Amino acid sequence: MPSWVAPVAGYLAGGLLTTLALAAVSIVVSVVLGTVLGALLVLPSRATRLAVRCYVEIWRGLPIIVTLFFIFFVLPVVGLRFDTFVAAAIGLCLWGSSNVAEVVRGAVQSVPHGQADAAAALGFPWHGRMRHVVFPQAVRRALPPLVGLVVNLTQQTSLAAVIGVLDLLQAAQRSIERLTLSSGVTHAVPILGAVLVVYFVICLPLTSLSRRLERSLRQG
Amino acid sequence: MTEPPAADQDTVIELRGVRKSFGELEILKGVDLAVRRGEVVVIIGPSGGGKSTLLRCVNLLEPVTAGQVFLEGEDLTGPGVDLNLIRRRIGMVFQQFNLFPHLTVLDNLTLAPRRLLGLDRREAERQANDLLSRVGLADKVDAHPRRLSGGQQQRVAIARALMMSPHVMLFDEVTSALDPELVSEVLDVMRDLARSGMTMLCVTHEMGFARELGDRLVFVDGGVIAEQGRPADVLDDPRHPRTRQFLHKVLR
Repeated sequence: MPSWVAPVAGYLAGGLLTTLALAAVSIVVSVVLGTVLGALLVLPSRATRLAVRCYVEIWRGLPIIVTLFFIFFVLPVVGLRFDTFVAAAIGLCLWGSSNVAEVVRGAVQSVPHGQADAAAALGFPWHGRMRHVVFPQAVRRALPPLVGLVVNLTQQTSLAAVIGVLDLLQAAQRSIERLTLSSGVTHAVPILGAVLVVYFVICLPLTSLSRRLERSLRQG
Repeated sequence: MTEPPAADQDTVIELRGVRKSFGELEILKGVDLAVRRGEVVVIIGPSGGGKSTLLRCVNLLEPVTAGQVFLEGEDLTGPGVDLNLIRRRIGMVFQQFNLFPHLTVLDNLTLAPRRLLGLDRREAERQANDLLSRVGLADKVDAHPRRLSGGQQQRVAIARALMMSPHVMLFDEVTSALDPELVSEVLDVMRDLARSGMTMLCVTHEMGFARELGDRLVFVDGGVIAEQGRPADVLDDPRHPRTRQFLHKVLR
């Protein structure tokens, strides 16, 4: 084994930990916040819906990389300064939560109106209809697209590299540059190959989980 | 209440001048209807004439645009009325069954009594089993709705509504989504219910059912009650030209 492999592998492992941490934070915050926002989007209150709708449309509509640049380069102008990891996490959470909110809203609204009617006719107040009848059915409908979003978020963490977060991709890039400078030989192929395999290994079980959920949903 | 309903204790449902619009479109144009305790009132009429909307206005699943709805003398359209409490006394069965697909048949029946009436599980399940036997589905307690035929699902839906011990039952074209050979099993359950003295308001296309069990037949067209009377009288000798026209089409 060439002598450069061990230190590079250690460096990449550190990057991988950052990637996983960033993914974990973004996923947890996005799912929790997005579920709350999605629930607000089906509230009878028009003002609430409008406010949430603005949030969702803004952060879902912007490319993540634009949001990241905005947080990292523009906000410091007005005195809001974040370190790279926090800036990346905020950007990913804004994008993730607004997408989760849309999935949750869509799932709730895809439950046929007759279900809420039947619960109302039995005497359930609005929150009872939601809690006992609509939400349990919406959760099952929301799961496959949610897993898809989790995969997507994990992949999008690689954008953090552009604002300097030392994640897996950034670690690989720096390793390649340093090896090229010090030894004059580029090891881009094996290093980027390793990066590719790692992302694949992380995301494959999730995409197959999503497919399984979808199949079980179809079979009811 | 400023103006008590003219009706005595024996009037279960009373609609007074009920109007309902969806945007510009006026579906109900002033409907007056009183249903006595134990009476079976059958509503017929062309589609789009407002009969389903009329039924949904009784438990205010559709809020009325104008007019009043009374249940046992209580004005449901008045201020400060808790509709959710009122609706416990009005059972409703839908064309599309609307069983809860994530729950078993048993849980479909026990959900509302347990959550809303505070019945304990054992008592709720005992009542559910009794009602399921009554509609001939005692062996389906643990089945999920999707495993049942349409006729079975509709019988479960009737049993689910009966779990709340309603004072009146609304049936909204409950046999229209069924295969023809499954219609009679649902009508049998409704016949039993009618004979047990249940007050019933049924929107239907089943003229045989109307003639056999209806105490009164109401013909709704153009958002108003165009004609009403004893089923045999209306069916055999309709007065209103639109009734005549409608019956001519459906009885042919």
